[in-house]
Amino acid sequence: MRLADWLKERIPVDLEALKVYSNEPVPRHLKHWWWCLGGTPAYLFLVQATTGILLSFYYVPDPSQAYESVKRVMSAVPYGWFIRSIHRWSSNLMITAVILHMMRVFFTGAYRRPREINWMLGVGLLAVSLGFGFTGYSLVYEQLSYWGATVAGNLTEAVPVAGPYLARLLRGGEQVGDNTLTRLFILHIGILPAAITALLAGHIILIRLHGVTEFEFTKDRERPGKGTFPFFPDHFLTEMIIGVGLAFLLTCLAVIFPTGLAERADPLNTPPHIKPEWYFFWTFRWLKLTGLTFAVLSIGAMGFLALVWPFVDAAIRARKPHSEASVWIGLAAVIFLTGLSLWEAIASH
Amino acid sequence: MSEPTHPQASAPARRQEAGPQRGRRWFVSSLLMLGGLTASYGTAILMAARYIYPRKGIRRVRRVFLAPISDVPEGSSRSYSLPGGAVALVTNTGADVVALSNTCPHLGCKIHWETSAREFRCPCHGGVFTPDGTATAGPPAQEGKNLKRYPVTRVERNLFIDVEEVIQL
Repeated sequence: MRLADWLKERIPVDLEALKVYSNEPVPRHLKHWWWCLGGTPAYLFLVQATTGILLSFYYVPDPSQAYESVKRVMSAVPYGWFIRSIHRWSSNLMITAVILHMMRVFFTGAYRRPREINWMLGVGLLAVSLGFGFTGYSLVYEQLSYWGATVAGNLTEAVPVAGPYLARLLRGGEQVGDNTLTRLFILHIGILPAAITALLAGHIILIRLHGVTEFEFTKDRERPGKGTFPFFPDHFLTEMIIGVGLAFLLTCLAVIFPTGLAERADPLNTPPHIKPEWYFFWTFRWLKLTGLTFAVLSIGAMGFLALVWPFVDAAIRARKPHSEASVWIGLAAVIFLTGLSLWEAIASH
Repeated sequence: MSEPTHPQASAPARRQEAGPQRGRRWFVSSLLMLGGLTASYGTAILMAARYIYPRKGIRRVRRVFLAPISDVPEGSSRSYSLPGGAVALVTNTGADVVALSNTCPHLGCKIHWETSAREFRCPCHGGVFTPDGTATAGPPAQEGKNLKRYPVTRVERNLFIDVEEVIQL
Protein backbone atom coordinates (compact mmCIF):
# COMPACT_ATOMS: atom_id res chain seq x y z
CA MET A 1 0.00 0.00 0.00
CA ARG A 2 2.83 2.35 0.77
CA LEU A 3 4.26 1.83 -2.66
CA ALA A 4 0.84 2.54 -4.20
CA ASP A 5 0.58 5.80 -2.22
CA TRP A 6 4.14 6.72 -3.16
CA LEU A 7 3.35 6.18 -6.82
CA LYS A 8 0.04 8.01 -6.64
CA GLU A 9 1.76 11.07 -5.22
CA ARG A 10 4.25 11.08 -8.09
CA ILE A 11 1.87 10.06 -10.86
CA PRO A 12 -1.34 11.84 -9.84
CA VAL A 13 -3.78 9.85 -11.95
CA ASP A 14 -7.22 9.03 -10.68
CA LEU A 15 -7.38 5.32 -11.39
CA GLU A 16 -11.15 5.16 -10.88
CA ALA A 17 -11.72 7.91 -13.47
CA LEU A 18 -9.25 6.24 -15.83
CA LYS A 19 -11.23 3.03 -15.52
CA VAL A 20 -14.38 4.86 -16.59
CA TYR A 21 -12.64 6.49 -19.58
CA SER A 22 -10.84 3.37 -20.77
CA ASN A 23 -13.62 0.93 -20.09
CA GLU A 24 -15.72 1.42 -23.14
CA PRO A 25 -19.07 -0.37 -23.22
CA VAL A 26 -18.89 -2.64 -26.25
CA PRO A 27 -22.03 -3.57 -28.22
CA ARG A 28 -22.97 -7.19 -27.93
CA HIS A 29 -22.46 -7.99 -31.61
CA LEU A 30 -18.71 -7.85 -30.96
CA LYS A 31 -19.12 -11.27 -29.39
CA HIS A 32 -19.14 -12.44 -33.01
CA TRP A 33 -15.63 -13.15 -34.24
CA TRP A 34 -16.11 -11.43 -37.61
CA TRP A 35 -16.71 -8.16 -35.83
CA CYS A 36 -13.24 -8.24 -34.25
CA LEU A 37 -11.22 -7.65 -37.41
CA GLY A 38 -10.36 -4.05 -36.48
CA GLY A 39 -8.08 -5.16 -33.67
CA THR A 40 -6.27 -7.63 -35.96
CA PRO A 41 -4.26 -5.09 -37.99
CA ALA A 42 -3.42 -3.27 -34.75
CA TYR A 43 -1.97 -6.48 -33.30
CA LEU A 44 -0.12 -7.24 -36.55
CA PHE A 45 1.25 -3.68 -36.55
CA LEU A 46 2.85 -4.39 -33.17
CA VAL A 47 4.36 -7.58 -34.62
CA GLN A 48 5.65 -5.55 -37.59
CA ALA A 49 7.17 -2.88 -35.37
CA THR A 50 8.93 -5.47 -33.18
CA THR A 51 10.30 -7.63 -36.00
CA GLY A 52 11.10 -4.51 -38.05
CA ILE A 53 13.25 -3.07 -35.26
CA LEU A 54 15.02 -6.44 -35.01
CA LEU A 55 15.66 -6.55 -38.78
CA SER A 56 17.07 -3.03 -38.77
CA PHE A 57 19.91 -4.21 -36.51
CA TYR A 58 21.55 -5.89 -39.50
CA TYR A 59 20.07 -4.22 -42.59
CA VAL A 60 22.35 -1.82 -44.50
CA PRO A 61 20.46 0.68 -46.71
CA ASP A 62 23.13 0.93 -49.39
CA PRO A 63 22.66 -0.52 -52.90
CA SER A 64 26.03 -2.27 -52.76
CA GLN A 65 25.34 -3.92 -49.39
CA ALA A 66 21.56 -4.15 -48.97
CA TYR A 67 21.06 -7.54 -50.64
CA GLU A 68 24.09 -9.06 -48.90
CA SER A 69 22.89 -7.75 -45.53
CA VAL A 70 19.49 -9.42 -46.02
CA LYS A 71 21.30 -12.60 -47.08
CA ARG A 72 23.33 -12.42 -43.89
CA VAL A 73 20.15 -12.08 -41.81
CA MET A 74 18.75 -15.13 -43.59
CA SER A 75 21.78 -17.37 -43.35
CA ALA A 76 24.18 -16.24 -40.63
CA VAL A 77 22.21 -14.39 -37.94
CA PRO A 78 20.54 -16.76 -35.41
CA TYR A 79 16.78 -16.91 -36.10
CA GLY A 80 17.19 -14.20 -38.76
CA TRP A 81 15.22 -16.26 -41.30
CA PHE A 82 12.43 -16.67 -38.77
CA ILE A 83 12.18 -12.98 -37.86
CA ARG A 84 12.25 -11.94 -41.52
CA SER A 85 9.62 -14.54 -42.42
CA ILE A 86 7.37 -13.36 -39.60
CA HIS A 87 7.83 -9.76 -40.77
CA ARG A 88 6.94 -10.67 -44.35
CA TRP A 89 3.96 -12.89 -43.51
CA SER A 90 2.67 -10.44 -40.96
CA SER A 91 2.76 -7.64 -43.57
CA ASN A 92 0.65 -9.78 -45.91
CA LEU A 93 -1.80 -10.65 -43.16
CA MET A 94 -1.96 -7.02 -42.06
CA ILE A 95 -2.96 -5.82 -45.51
CA THR A 96 -5.48 -8.69 -45.77
CA ALA A 97 -6.94 -7.78 -42.37
CA VAL A 98 -7.18 -4.07 -43.26
CA ILE A 99 -9.01 -4.95 -46.50
CA LEU A 100 -11.41 -7.36 -44.72
CA HIS A 101 -12.05 -4.84 -41.94
CA MET A 102 -12.78 -2.11 -44.50
CA MET A 103 -15.13 -4.41 -46.40
CA ARG A 104 -16.99 -5.19 -43.18
CA VAL A 105 -17.28 -1.46 -42.39
CA PHE A 106 -18.32 -0.69 -45.95
CA PHE A 107 -21.03 -3.32 -46.35
CA THR A 108 -22.54 -2.65 -42.93
CA GLY A 109 -22.62 1.10 -43.63
CA ALA A 110 -20.62 1.79 -40.45
CA TYR A 111 -18.86 4.71 -42.16
CA ARG A 112 -22.05 6.79 -42.24
CA ARG A 113 -22.66 9.97 -40.27
CA PRO A 114 -21.10 10.79 -37.80
CA ARG A 115 -18.23 8.41 -38.59
CA GLU A 116 -17.14 9.80 -41.98
CA ILE A 117 -13.80 11.12 -40.73
CA ASN A 118 -12.95 7.78 -39.16
CA TRP A 119 -13.56 6.08 -42.52
CA MET A 120 -11.18 8.60 -44.09
CA LEU A 121 -8.56 7.85 -41.45
CA GLY A 122 -9.11 4.17 -42.30
CA VAL A 123 -8.49 4.82 -46.00
CA GLY A 124 -5.32 6.66 -44.92
CA LEU A 125 -4.31 3.61 -42.87
CA LEU A 126 -4.81 1.37 -45.93
CA ALA A 127 -2.70 3.73 -48.06
CA VAL A 128 0.07 3.79 -45.43
CA SER A 129 -0.07 -0.03 -45.14
CA LEU A 130 0.35 -0.33 -48.92
CA GLY A 131 3.19 2.20 -48.71
CA PHE A 132 4.83 0.01 -46.07
CA GLY A 133 4.45 -3.00 -48.36
CA PHE A 134 5.97 -1.26 -51.36
CA THR A 135 8.90 0.36 -49.53
CA GLY A 136 9.45 -2.89 -47.60
CA TYR A 137 9.98 -5.10 -50.60
CA SER A 138 12.05 -2.39 -52.29
CA LEU A 139 14.59 -2.58 -49.46
CA VAL A 140 15.53 -6.22 -50.09
CA TYR A 141 17.22 -5.16 -53.36
CA GLU A 142 16.01 -8.17 -55.30
CA GLN A 143 15.12 -7.85 -58.96
CA LEU A 144 11.53 -7.02 -57.99
CA SER A 145 12.76 -4.35 -55.57
CA TYR A 146 14.70 -2.53 -58.26
CA TRP A 147 12.15 -2.80 -61.06
CA GLY A 148 9.28 -2.06 -58.68
CA ALA A 149 11.02 1.16 -57.67
CA THR A 150 11.74 2.00 -61.33
CA VAL A 151 8.11 1.49 -62.34
CA ALA A 152 6.80 3.37 -59.28
CA GLY A 153 9.15 6.28 -59.97
CA ASN A 154 8.08 6.55 -63.62
CA LEU A 155 4.45 6.12 -62.62
CA THR A 156 4.79 9.03 -60.19
CA GLU A 157 6.41 11.05 -62.95
CA ALA A 158 3.32 10.49 -65.13
CA VAL A 159 1.07 12.26 -62.59
CA PRO A 160 0.05 15.56 -64.19
CA VAL A 161 1.68 18.78 -62.89
CA ALA A 162 3.28 17.62 -59.61
CA GLY A 163 4.49 14.26 -60.94
CA PRO A 164 8.04 15.11 -62.05
CA TYR A 165 8.76 16.94 -58.76
CA LEU A 166 7.34 14.10 -56.65
CA ALA A 167 9.27 11.53 -58.65
CA ARG A 168 12.52 13.40 -58.15
CA LEU A 169 11.77 13.73 -54.44
CA LEU A 170 11.01 10.00 -54.15
CA ARG A 171 14.07 8.88 -56.12
CA GLY A 172 16.44 11.47 -54.73
CA GLY A 173 17.45 12.36 -58.26
CA GLU A 174 16.56 12.05 -61.91
CA GLN A 175 16.75 8.25 -61.94
CA VAL A 176 16.65 5.35 -59.49
CA GLY A 177 20.10 5.51 -57.97
CA ASP A 178 22.11 5.44 -54.77
CA ASN A 179 19.86 7.99 -53.08
CA THR A 180 16.68 6.05 -53.82
CA LEU A 181 17.28 3.17 -51.42
CA THR A 182 18.03 5.52 -48.50
CA ARG A 183 14.82 7.42 -49.20
CA LEU A 184 12.73 4.26 -49.31
CA PHE A 185 14.41 3.12 -46.08
CA ILE A 186 13.63 6.42 -44.32
CA LEU A 187 10.03 6.16 -45.51
CA HIS A 188 9.78 2.57 -44.26
CA ILE A 189 11.33 3.03 -40.82
CA GLY A 190 10.70 6.72 -40.05
CA ILE A 191 8.00 8.57 -41.93
CA LEU A 192 5.44 5.79 -42.45
CA PRO A 193 5.68 4.50 -38.84
CA ALA A 194 5.08 8.06 -37.60
CA ALA A 195 2.14 8.42 -40.00
CA ILE A 196 0.58 5.09 -39.04
CA THR A 197 0.94 5.83 -35.33
CA ALA A 198 -0.81 9.19 -35.73
CA LEU A 199 -3.58 7.76 -37.93
CA LEU A 200 -4.08 4.77 -35.65
CA ALA A 201 -4.29 7.04 -32.58
CA GLY A 202 -6.86 9.24 -34.32
CA HIS A 203 -8.79 6.16 -35.47
CA ILE A 204 -8.96 4.65 -31.98
CA ILE A 205 -9.78 7.98 -30.28
CA LEU A 206 -12.68 8.53 -32.70
CA ILE A 207 -13.96 4.99 -32.15
CA ARG A 208 -13.87 5.64 -28.40
CA LEU A 209 -15.62 9.02 -28.74
CA HIS A 210 -18.39 7.77 -31.04
CA GLY A 211 -18.64 4.29 -29.60
CA VAL A 212 -18.68 1.21 -31.78
CA THR A 213 -21.48 1.22 -34.37
CA GLU A 214 -24.32 -0.83 -32.98
CA PHE A 215 -25.85 -3.68 -34.84
CA GLU A 216 -28.44 -6.05 -33.63
CA PHE A 217 -28.72 -9.63 -34.68
CA THR A 218 -32.08 -11.32 -34.59
CA LYS A 219 -30.81 -14.11 -32.39
CA ASP A 220 -29.21 -11.64 -29.93
CA ARG A 221 -32.59 -9.99 -29.46
CA GLU A 222 -33.92 -13.16 -27.94
CA ARG A 223 -31.13 -13.32 -25.37
CA PRO A 224 -31.71 -11.70 -22.01
CA GLY A 225 -29.42 -9.02 -20.53
CA LYS A 226 -28.00 -5.65 -21.47
CA GLY A 227 -27.02 -4.59 -24.99
CA THR A 228 -23.36 -4.03 -24.12
CA PHE A 229 -20.49 -5.68 -22.30
CA PRO A 230 -17.33 -4.11 -20.86
CA PHE A 231 -14.22 -3.58 -23.01
CA PHE A 232 -12.00 -4.62 -20.15
CA PRO A 233 -11.54 -7.46 -19.53
CA ASP A 234 -14.13 -9.09 -21.82
CA HIS A 235 -13.33 -7.64 -25.22
CA PHE A 236 -9.66 -7.23 -24.38
CA LEU A 237 -9.50 -10.98 -23.73
CA THR A 238 -11.21 -11.67 -27.06
CA GLU A 239 -8.49 -9.60 -28.76
CA MET A 240 -5.84 -11.51 -26.76
CA ILE A 241 -7.26 -14.79 -28.06
CA ILE A 242 -7.14 -13.42 -31.62
CA GLY A 243 -3.55 -12.29 -30.94
CA VAL A 244 -2.50 -15.76 -29.77
CA GLY A 245 -4.24 -17.29 -32.78
CA LEU A 246 -2.38 -14.89 -35.11
CA ALA A 247 0.95 -15.62 -33.42
CA PHE A 248 0.32 -19.33 -33.98
CA LEU A 249 -0.68 -18.77 -37.61
CA LEU A 250 2.37 -16.55 -38.26
CA THR A 251 4.70 -19.11 -36.71
CA CYS A 252 3.21 -21.89 -38.85
CA LEU A 253 3.45 -19.80 -42.03
CA ALA A 254 7.02 -18.67 -41.26
CA VAL A 255 8.17 -22.24 -40.56
CA ILE A 256 6.30 -24.00 -43.37
CA PHE A 257 6.73 -21.26 -45.99
CA PRO A 258 9.81 -19.26 -44.97
CA THR A 259 10.48 -16.12 -46.99
CA GLY A 260 13.14 -16.69 -49.62
CA LEU A 261 15.54 -14.40 -51.36
CA ALA A 262 15.23 -13.98 -55.13
CA GLU A 263 17.91 -12.90 -57.58
CA ARG A 264 19.91 -9.77 -56.78
CA ALA A 265 18.79 -6.54 -58.48
CA ASP A 266 20.32 -6.07 -61.92
CA PRO A 267 19.76 -2.55 -63.29
CA LEU A 268 20.75 -3.74 -66.79
CA ASN A 269 18.24 -6.55 -67.09
CA THR A 270 14.53 -6.83 -66.29
CA PRO A 271 13.68 -10.51 -65.63
CA PRO A 272 11.27 -12.02 -68.17
CA HIS A 273 8.55 -12.77 -65.61
CA ILE A 274 8.06 -9.99 -63.14
CA LYS A 275 5.08 -9.36 -60.90
CA PRO A 276 4.61 -7.17 -57.86
CA GLU A 277 3.19 -8.33 -54.50
CA TRP A 278 -0.41 -9.59 -54.75
CA TYR A 279 -1.93 -6.37 -53.38
CA PHE A 280 -0.62 -4.47 -56.41
CA PHE A 281 -1.73 -7.10 -58.95
CA TRP A 282 -4.80 -5.11 -59.93
CA THR A 283 -2.80 -1.92 -60.67
CA PHE A 284 -0.26 -3.99 -62.62
CA ARG A 285 -3.01 -5.48 -64.79
CA TRP A 286 -4.73 -2.10 -65.15
CA LEU A 287 -1.45 -0.61 -66.40
CA LYS A 288 -1.28 -3.32 -69.07
CA LEU A 289 -4.81 -2.62 -70.26
CA THR A 290 -4.84 1.16 -70.40
CA GLY A 291 -2.65 4.02 -71.53
CA LEU A 292 -0.32 5.47 -68.90
CA THR A 293 -2.02 8.83 -68.32
CA PHE A 294 -5.46 7.24 -68.13
CA ALA A 295 -4.19 4.53 -65.77
CA VAL A 296 -2.61 7.07 -63.41
CA LEU A 297 -5.63 9.36 -63.42
CA SER A 298 -8.15 6.53 -62.98
CA ILE A 299 -6.20 4.95 -60.10
CA GLY A 300 -6.02 8.39 -58.46
CA ALA A 301 -9.76 8.91 -59.02
CA MET A 302 -10.59 5.50 -57.48
CA GLY A 303 -8.48 6.30 -54.42
CA PHE A 304 -10.15 9.69 -54.05
CA LEU A 305 -13.61 8.15 -54.41
CA ALA A 306 -12.77 5.62 -51.68
CA LEU A 307 -11.61 8.47 -49.44
CA VAL A 308 -14.73 10.63 -49.83
CA TRP A 309 -17.15 7.70 -50.18
CA PRO A 310 -19.20 8.50 -47.01
CA PHE A 311 -20.15 11.88 -48.52
CA VAL A 312 -20.99 10.41 -51.92
CA ASP A 313 -23.14 7.81 -50.16
CA ALA A 314 -24.88 10.55 -48.16
CA ALA A 315 -25.60 12.46 -51.37
CA ILE A 316 -27.11 9.34 -52.97
CA ARG A 317 -29.20 8.61 -49.89
CA ALA A 318 -30.41 12.21 -49.69
CA ARG A 319 -32.05 11.71 -53.09
CA LYS A 320 -33.15 8.13 -52.57
CA PRO A 321 -33.44 7.40 -48.84
CA HIS A 322 -33.86 3.64 -49.16
CA SER A 323 -31.32 3.20 -51.93
CA GLU A 324 -29.10 0.12 -51.80
CA ALA A 325 -26.72 1.78 -54.26
CA SER A 326 -23.74 1.64 -51.88
CA VAL A 327 -23.99 -2.15 -51.65
CA TRP A 328 -24.11 -2.54 -55.43
CA ILE A 329 -21.28 -0.07 -56.02
CA GLY A 330 -19.24 -1.81 -53.32
CA LEU A 331 -19.90 -5.20 -54.88
CA ALA A 332 -18.95 -3.87 -58.32
CA ALA A 333 -15.68 -2.49 -56.88
CA VAL A 334 -14.87 -5.80 -55.16
CA ILE A 335 -15.59 -7.78 -58.34
CA PHE A 336 -13.57 -5.33 -60.47
CA LEU A 337 -10.50 -5.33 -58.19
CA THR A 338 -10.63 -9.08 -57.45
CA GLY A 339 -11.17 -9.81 -61.14
CA LEU A 340 -8.12 -7.78 -62.21
CA SER A 341 -6.04 -9.33 -59.42
CA LEU A 342 -7.04 -12.90 -60.33
CA TRP A 343 -6.42 -12.22 -64.00
CA GLU A 344 -2.90 -11.03 -63.16
CA ALA A 345 -2.35 -13.98 -60.83
CA ILE A 346 -3.36 -16.55 -63.45
CA ALA A 347 -1.95 -14.98 -66.64
CA SER A 348 1.69 -15.64 -67.46
CA HIS A 349 2.04 -12.31 -69.29
CA MET B 1 -22.00 35.09 -4.42
CA SER B 2 -23.33 38.46 -5.55
CA GLU B 3 -20.04 40.04 -6.75
CA PRO B 4 -17.23 38.14 -8.45
CA THR B 5 -14.40 38.00 -5.95
CA HIS B 6 -12.26 35.28 -7.43
CA PRO B 7 -9.53 36.67 -9.72
CA GLN B 8 -10.44 34.23 -12.49
CA ALA B 9 -14.07 35.25 -12.39
CA SER B 10 -13.24 38.94 -12.66
CA ALA B 11 -10.88 38.53 -15.62
CA PRO B 12 -13.56 38.73 -18.33
CA ALA B 13 -14.96 41.83 -16.71
CA ARG B 14 -11.56 43.56 -16.76
CA ARG B 15 -11.08 42.61 -20.37
CA GLN B 16 -14.38 44.25 -21.23
CA GLU B 17 -13.46 47.47 -19.38
CA ALA B 18 -10.17 47.83 -21.21
CA GLY B 19 -11.88 46.92 -24.49
CA PRO B 20 -10.85 49.16 -27.41
CA GLN B 21 -7.31 50.17 -26.31
CA ARG B 22 -6.30 46.67 -25.37
CA GLY B 23 -7.83 45.37 -28.58
CA ARG B 24 -5.63 47.48 -30.82
CA ARG B 25 -2.45 46.67 -28.94
CA TRP B 26 -3.42 43.08 -28.78
CA PHE B 27 -4.08 43.04 -32.51
CA VAL B 28 -0.76 44.66 -33.45
CA SER B 29 1.31 42.53 -31.06
CA SER B 30 -0.49 39.37 -32.15
CA LEU B 31 0.08 40.25 -35.78
CA LEU B 32 3.77 40.84 -35.15
CA MET B 33 4.07 37.68 -33.15
CA LEU B 34 2.24 35.64 -35.75
CA GLY B 35 4.30 37.24 -38.53
CA GLY B 36 7.53 36.50 -36.67
CA LEU B 37 6.54 32.89 -36.02
CA THR B 38 5.45 32.37 -39.64
CA ALA B 39 8.66 33.90 -40.96
CA SER B 40 10.97 31.93 -38.67
CA TYR B 41 9.24 28.55 -38.82
CA GLY B 42 8.51 29.11 -42.51
CA THR B 43 12.23 29.65 -43.16
CA ALA B 44 13.01 26.47 -41.23
CA ILE B 45 10.45 24.51 -43.27
CA LEU B 46 11.81 25.93 -46.54
CA MET B 47 15.33 25.01 -45.48
CA ALA B 48 14.18 21.47 -44.62
CA ALA B 49 12.35 21.16 -47.96
CA ARG B 50 15.42 22.41 -49.82
CA TYR B 51 17.53 19.94 -47.83
CA ILE B 52 15.33 16.97 -48.76
CA TYR B 53 14.65 17.93 -52.37
CA PRO B 54 17.44 16.61 -54.58
CA ARG B 55 19.54 19.02 -56.62
CA LYS B 56 18.80 19.04 -60.28
CA GLY B 57 21.03 16.62 -62.14
CA ILE B 58 23.27 17.93 -64.89
CA ARG B 59 22.25 16.48 -68.24
CA ARG B 60 24.80 16.43 -70.99
CA VAL B 61 25.18 14.69 -74.30
CA ARG B 62 28.49 13.02 -75.02
CA ARG B 63 29.61 11.50 -78.29
CA VAL B 64 31.36 8.22 -77.65
CA PHE B 65 33.06 5.71 -79.89
CA LEU B 66 30.80 2.70 -80.45
CA ALA B 67 32.54 0.23 -82.77
CA PRO B 68 34.16 -0.11 -86.18
CA ILE B 69 31.51 -0.54 -88.86
CA SER B 70 32.92 -4.01 -89.61
CA ASP B 71 31.57 -5.05 -86.19
CA VAL B 72 28.01 -4.69 -87.46
CA PRO B 73 27.92 -6.02 -91.04
CA GLU B 74 24.96 -5.22 -93.26
CA GLY B 75 21.79 -6.96 -92.09
CA SER B 76 23.10 -7.79 -88.62
CA SER B 77 22.33 -6.57 -85.09
CA ARG B 78 24.44 -6.28 -81.97
CA SER B 79 23.94 -4.82 -78.55
CA TYR B 80 26.44 -2.53 -76.88
CA SER B 81 26.72 -1.40 -73.28
CA LEU B 82 27.01 2.35 -73.07
CA PRO B 83 28.59 4.44 -70.33
CA GLY B 84 26.09 4.90 -67.50
CA GLY B 85 24.62 1.41 -67.84
CA ALA B 86 22.31 1.86 -70.84
CA VAL B 87 22.32 -0.64 -73.69
CA ALA B 88 22.02 0.24 -77.40
CA LEU B 89 20.69 -2.31 -79.89
CA VAL B 90 22.52 -1.47 -83.09
CA THR B 91 21.24 -2.70 -86.47
CA ASN B 92 22.85 -2.14 -89.83
CA THR B 93 20.03 -2.02 -92.37
CA GLY B 94 22.40 -1.31 -95.24
CA ALA B 95 21.05 2.13 -95.92
CA ASP B 96 21.39 3.21 -92.33
CA VAL B 97 22.74 2.24 -88.92
CA VAL B 98 20.03 2.41 -86.24
CA ALA B 99 20.76 2.38 -82.50
CA LEU B 100 17.73 1.68 -80.31
CA SER B 101 17.51 2.15 -76.58
CA ASN B 102 16.52 -1.04 -74.71
CA THR B 103 14.48 0.93 -72.16
CA CYS B 104 10.71 0.63 -72.57
CA PRO B 105 9.19 4.11 -73.08
CA HIS B 106 6.18 3.11 -70.93
CA LEU B 107 7.60 2.76 -67.42
CA GLY B 108 11.30 2.13 -67.90
CA CYS B 109 11.74 -1.67 -67.83
CA LYS B 110 14.34 -3.32 -70.10
CA ILE B 111 12.97 -4.97 -73.23
CA HIS B 112 13.93 -8.47 -74.50
CA TRP B 113 14.38 -9.77 -78.03
CA GLU B 114 11.88 -12.54 -78.79
CA THR B 115 13.61 -14.63 -81.48
CA SER B 116 10.61 -16.74 -82.54
CA ALA B 117 8.29 -13.78 -82.99
CA ARG B 118 11.05 -11.45 -84.29
CA GLU B 119 9.99 -8.64 -82.00
CA PHE B 120 11.01 -6.85 -78.81
CA ARG B 121 8.85 -7.42 -75.74
CA CYS B 122 8.72 -5.60 -72.44
CA PRO B 123 8.38 -8.03 -69.50
CA CYS B 124 6.57 -5.52 -67.28
CA HIS B 125 3.35 -4.40 -68.95
CA GLY B 126 3.41 -6.25 -72.27
CA GLY B 127 4.72 -3.61 -74.68
CA VAL B 128 5.67 -5.06 -78.10
CA PHE B 129 8.02 -3.40 -80.62
CA THR B 130 9.14 -4.23 -84.18
CA PRO B 131 12.88 -4.59 -84.91
CA ASP B 132 12.97 -0.93 -85.94
CA GLY B 133 11.50 0.11 -82.57
CA THR B 134 7.91 0.87 -83.59
CA ALA B 135 5.40 0.03 -80.84
CA THR B 136 2.80 -2.46 -82.09
CA ALA B 137 0.96 -3.64 -78.98
CA GLY B 138 0.46 -2.92 -75.29
CA PRO B 139 0.47 0.48 -73.55
CA PRO B 140 3.35 1.97 -75.65
CA ALA B 141 1.34 1.33 -78.85
CA GLN B 142 -1.76 2.93 -77.28
CA GLU B 143 0.23 6.05 -76.60
CA GLY B 144 2.28 5.95 -79.80
CA LYS B 145 5.57 5.71 -77.89
CA ASN B 146 8.30 3.99 -79.89
CA LEU B 147 11.71 2.90 -78.65
CA LYS B 148 14.09 5.82 -78.31
CA ARG B 149 16.79 6.08 -80.98
CA TYR B 150 20.32 7.18 -80.23
CA PRO B 151 21.82 9.43 -82.89
CA VAL B 152 24.59 7.48 -84.68
CA THR B 153 27.35 9.18 -86.63
CA ARG B 154 29.63 7.42 -89.06
CA VAL B 155 33.12 8.79 -89.34
CA GLU B 156 35.09 6.91 -91.98
CA ARG B 157 35.01 3.27 -90.85
CA ASN B 158 33.90 3.93 -87.29
CA LEU B 159 30.56 4.43 -85.56
CA PHE B 160 30.00 7.05 -82.88
CA ILE B 161 26.92 7.40 -80.70
CA ASP B 162 25.49 10.37 -78.79
CA VAL B 163 24.71 9.34 -75.23
CA GLU B 164 22.83 11.46 -72.73
CA GLU B 165 24.27 11.34 -69.24
CA VAL B 166 22.81 12.61 -65.99
CA ILE B 167 25.29 13.63 -63.36
CA GLN B 168 23.56 13.61 -59.98
CA LEU B 169 25.15 15.92 -57.43
